[in-house]
Amino acid sequence: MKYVVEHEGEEIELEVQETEDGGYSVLRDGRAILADFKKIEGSRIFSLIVQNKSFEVLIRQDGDLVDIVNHGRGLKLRVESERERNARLIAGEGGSTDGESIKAVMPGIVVAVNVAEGDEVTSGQAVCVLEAMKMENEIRSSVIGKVLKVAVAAGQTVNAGDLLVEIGPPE
Amino acid sequence: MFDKVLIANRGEIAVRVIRACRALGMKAVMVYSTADRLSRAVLMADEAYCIGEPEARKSYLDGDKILAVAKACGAGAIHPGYGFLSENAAFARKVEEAGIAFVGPNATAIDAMGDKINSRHAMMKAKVPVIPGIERPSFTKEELAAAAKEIGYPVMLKATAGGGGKGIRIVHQEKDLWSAYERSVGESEKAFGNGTVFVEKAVEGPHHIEFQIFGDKHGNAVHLFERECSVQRRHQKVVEESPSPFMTPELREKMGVAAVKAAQAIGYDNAGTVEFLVDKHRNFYFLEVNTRLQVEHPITELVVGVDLVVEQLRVAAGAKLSFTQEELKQTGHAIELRICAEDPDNNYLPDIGRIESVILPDGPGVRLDSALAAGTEVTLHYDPMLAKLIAWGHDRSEAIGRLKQALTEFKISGLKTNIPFLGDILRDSRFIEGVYDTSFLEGFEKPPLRQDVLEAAIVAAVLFRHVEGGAGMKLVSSGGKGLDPWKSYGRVRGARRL
Repeated sequence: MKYVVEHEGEEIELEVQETEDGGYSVLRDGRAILADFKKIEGSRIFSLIVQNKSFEVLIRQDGDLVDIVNHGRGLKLRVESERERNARLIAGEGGSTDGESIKAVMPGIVVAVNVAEGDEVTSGQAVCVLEAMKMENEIRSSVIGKVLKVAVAAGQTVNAGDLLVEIGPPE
Repeated sequence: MFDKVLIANRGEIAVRVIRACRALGMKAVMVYSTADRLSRAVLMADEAYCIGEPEARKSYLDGDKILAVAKACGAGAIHPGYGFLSENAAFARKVEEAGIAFVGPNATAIDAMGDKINSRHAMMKAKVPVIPGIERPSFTKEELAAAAKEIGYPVMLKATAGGGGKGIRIVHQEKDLWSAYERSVGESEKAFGNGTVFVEKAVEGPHHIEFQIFGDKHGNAVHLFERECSVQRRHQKVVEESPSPFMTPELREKMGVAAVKAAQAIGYDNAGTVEFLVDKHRNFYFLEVNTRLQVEHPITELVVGVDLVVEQLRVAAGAKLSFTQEELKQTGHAIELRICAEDPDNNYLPDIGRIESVILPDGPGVRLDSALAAGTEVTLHYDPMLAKLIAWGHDRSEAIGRLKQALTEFKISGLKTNIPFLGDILRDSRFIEGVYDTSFLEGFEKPPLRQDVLEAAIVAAVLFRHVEGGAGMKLVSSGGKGLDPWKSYGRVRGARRL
């Protein structure tokens, strides 16, 4: 699995492979870093042995950053899977992945539907166009995810509160 | 000596005082708020009495309730620790009147030092140098110029009612004086409704250096040398060390004599601290006396080899000081770090929560004063200081080395701490060279990370994400269907810009 780590504005690409002995091989710039990574139960402390160098690391999720204390020094890193990062870049901003039900907030006519069931959407992407009060409004997704259901068709009249599109988490 | 001592405090200092009581064979009585039922101090105590709700004024600041417990349980003394009631002269007086010893100076000495103006006058009378300054309700242009000339440039203009840096101006030459004064008066009128501004000598490149003093009820007073406390953030000490790297033998002699004079001037009869400002030319000025045991007392204990809390209890019971000035010597070097639940990357906001697990540091020359244990709740009711990590070495560089190693070993899970920030300070070149003043933390920059430590952190972060999933992944499993309709509505509205 590929990840991108951001540290002080620099993006570092890494690929994690699980090895047969329960450890990991982390590829960085074509170099394989062999890592044994274990959690100390009941704490947020992890033991990391990389190429026989031992580190006792305190790790916690802090919003969308990973907060690390290693060797008495601290740093905050943004860690994303490659796909999450691409989705974020396309959307131009970060987006939640927890799904949403997009509903009509006022009565109107559906002018166009831009997505189909199974489509991947990014945050900010238009899913349909609703005409209300003689104005066409693009209805956008606020999350990154997959379209579970399209509840309306072009030309249909909707009332306030009617479901338009249901979006679930990305795969 | 006392059979039983009541400790009117909490946290690490309560644990510290219990240890001193035990060393002397005295029983330790704790009073505690409901928030501290399972605290180390209550668990360690011989007797424990709940005195109220977590809010300090309903428990640790309720002197009458504490005194009633002391009388009921037959305590011979009350040790107030630091903070809370420790510098409350009225409480000290009530305790003494009840026939119970207050482990601290007499109430009159506390009173004398409680008021800034009075203490300044007392020190001037005792010939202890104070920051030269001239006060009057208002100045004419000529009066002001004459006052500044008499004090000597640079001068500070300070609002009498001041605080938070408002109404303060530093002036280097006469031509800037009057306009600075007018602005300072205007600012302080706006900010405090009082336009009184006084002129004071500006202390350049100031060091905060304090002297431990000790007096007894028999008129003896000594000092136990200095502590350098210039690593400060918003007037809160972060790192303290003894001896001060800025000190010279001549200056130590002069300041020590002044500190003892200060103690004698107010009839001081227990442990206390005389705080001074020292400028870059090594002129020193009296700031104030802290009439209590100081947070950073352990560095003095390690360097001088005296148990200050035991001595406090002995002296409070009427004993003579167990050492003379001539017997006291500084040996080696000690440094203390204040470990706090706070986030230095987020404006040092205190962090609260439950301590999940903790790995305590140890090793040669390492001392930890703390009340830390897994399961401890850190709340907003009290100070965010969790522990004091102290290291002693034969010299400064050995002390720093031991402290660095101990800090690396120290792991607290469950809330954010300033441990990494303290690690950065120990690796700062100015700190390592011992060349710093009170401006040290202004614009402080993190020293670079060792390459292997950085790479290990990056690998650990990626593997953490791989194994545990990120914030987003966690939401996937808990979110999806059961969305809060109001939250979704808000998001939809936001996205649509209707």
